[in-house]
Amino acid sequence: MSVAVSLAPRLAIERIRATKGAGVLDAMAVLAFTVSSWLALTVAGGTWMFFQRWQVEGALPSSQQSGLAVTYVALAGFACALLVIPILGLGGGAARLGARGRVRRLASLRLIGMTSGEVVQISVIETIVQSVAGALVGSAIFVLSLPLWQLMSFQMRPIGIAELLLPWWLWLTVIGALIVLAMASTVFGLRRVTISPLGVARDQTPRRLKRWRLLVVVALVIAFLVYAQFTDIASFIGLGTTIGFLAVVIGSINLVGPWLMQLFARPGARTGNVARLLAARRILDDPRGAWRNVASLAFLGFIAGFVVTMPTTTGDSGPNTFFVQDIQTGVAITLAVGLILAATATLMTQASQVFDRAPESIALDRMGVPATIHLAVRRRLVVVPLAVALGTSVPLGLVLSTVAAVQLESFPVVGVSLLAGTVILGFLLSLGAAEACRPLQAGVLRVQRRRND
Amino acid sequence: MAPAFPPWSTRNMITPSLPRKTLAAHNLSKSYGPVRALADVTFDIPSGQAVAIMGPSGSGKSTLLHCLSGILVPDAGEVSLGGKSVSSLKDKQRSLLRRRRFGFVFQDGQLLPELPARENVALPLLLTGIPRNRALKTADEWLGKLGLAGMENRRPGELSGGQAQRVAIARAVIHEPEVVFADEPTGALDQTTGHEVMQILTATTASSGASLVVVTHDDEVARWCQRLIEIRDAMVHDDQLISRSTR
Repeated sequence: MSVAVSLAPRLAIERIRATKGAGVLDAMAVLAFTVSSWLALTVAGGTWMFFQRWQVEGALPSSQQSGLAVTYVALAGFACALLVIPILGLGGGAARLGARGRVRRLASLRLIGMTSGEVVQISVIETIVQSVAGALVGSAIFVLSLPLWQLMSFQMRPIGIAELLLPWWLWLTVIGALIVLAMASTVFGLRRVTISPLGVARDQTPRRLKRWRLLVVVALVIAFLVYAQFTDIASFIGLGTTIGFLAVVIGSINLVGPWLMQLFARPGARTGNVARLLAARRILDDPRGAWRNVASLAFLGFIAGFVVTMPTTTGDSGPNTFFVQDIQTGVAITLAVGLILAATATLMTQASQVFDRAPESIALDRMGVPATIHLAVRRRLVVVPLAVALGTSVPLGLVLSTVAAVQLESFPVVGVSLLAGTVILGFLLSLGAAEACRPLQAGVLRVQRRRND
Repeated sequence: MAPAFPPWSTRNMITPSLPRKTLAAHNLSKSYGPVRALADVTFDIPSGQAVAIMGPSGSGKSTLLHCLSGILVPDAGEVSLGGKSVSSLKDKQRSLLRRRRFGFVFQDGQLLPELPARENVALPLLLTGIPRNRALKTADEWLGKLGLAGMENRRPGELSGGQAQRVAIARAVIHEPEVVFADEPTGALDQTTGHEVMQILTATTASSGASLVVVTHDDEVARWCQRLIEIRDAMVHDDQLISRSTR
């Protein structure tokens, strides 16, 4: 057995057990894998349920619903595709937690004679230990949370516990995929860390992002609106091309997102308020990174905004009405899952930053800077990107749907309330995640040592 | 009698009519569990004096600097500034004292990497509530005085080690503190740059009338000061003025 293989699991387990100092980050990595496994299994369980209802004859009460069953599978698959990005982001982030500390530790191992290959092996094995532990806990939470889903219904039929339970091979595939992707993130993340530690500010002044990004998106939106006026959305081809065009518009949000981060952060860089200044400078330092953390939420927000205005009352109570209601419920669930993922990612990123920025924080503390400044900076770093992402994507979705696709007869009170409630809850979760870093920050500031003494 | 400060001086806003005062340590003791870091340490640092604190690793010099600057509270004894107790102040009050009346220079600068030099320097003034434009103007003046004109918008990563440490010195003195604490200020620099930094640090504090307390391992660095306090085994082993010829 190689040294790396024998050493790595012991190192990983010991650090998870040590819940002090940067050891917290390892426990947090397990938490991130737990949340991503739980949510990945839940989303896969939902898709499996729709697949079963489609496959099993007589599972649905009417022939009309049976005809729509395949659409449910396709939409659930689409929701899975949307959530894959934040789930992978969470796994990748967990693998890169505490970048500076990890690099220092690995550098020490290199110094005592380990090869770079062995060092990578150690990191990958650590990730496997963390992700397997997270997957086991996540699976347990998934099973325990199943009864709650009985409160909801799709296709005019309540969700059954047995419907969400995945067969062993599918469970293994989902968990296996998460572990493999976490391993890949570790190797890739480690390569990036050695070049420039993630989560750590760049040394040089970043280049400004240019305005053409906005112009491209505005042009696409206008083109879509014009196109929608002359297209028969009821026809099969019309619907297909509209969805395709809409996908391009949604994709273009990624182009304008970092520019928007820069735009909204820039006034903060011209202020005398220290917390606002520091938060703005950190966002301006890496607007693409700030956007990356919330990009998937922006997509979800856009879709939520788009479907929320769809009429849920068509005069009859046929399957089409329930189809629209089901879409709205599905979008709300997907958005909620996305917001939980975002809050977990926030917790991880901010906790990692607490340790990565420890020397600067200690220096500021010694200079007499109040500890509340760190909290205020963290709050802004969480709220500003979230607000920019949802504050632009949800209204954009609303505008496009009302102007282009849906003839609004009355204000969709229920849909908008559900959307607003989900968004507010998501904000509170992320703010809670930022607040949860307060004891970590206090712990870091209590460590008053000088490096060479 | 309190010295008069020119009308543009930030001192008028930060600490109105505050006289320069003596920093005094009286029978300081501090332990970490069974380990004694300071034992009955007593001395005064008159206003405007530059003092080097030397000693081997683990001798207690770092703890002494932290107690003097109000970062740590001694187990026994007292630190006072101008006769008023520092060590009996509450945590928030000590933070305020450090922010307004002390300045700090750290071993590797500890500048904030995402802020340009001028904002790093202006930070103590912004924290005091001085308007941004005025704070930046004062920061630019200090950077100019320390030979960094034209580099105001560079970020720490775009500066050499010596330049970054000069930015740190400007940040430590911009609010005209009464005492500047420097913790191994040349530890991360080569000898020539280290001498330049010490020259600037001692000259800057002398011109502003601030006391300077430098913790160092390096004899060459200590020679830039007027007085040397040597700490060994948690106690003051030697306390002597450094003659000009030695300096």
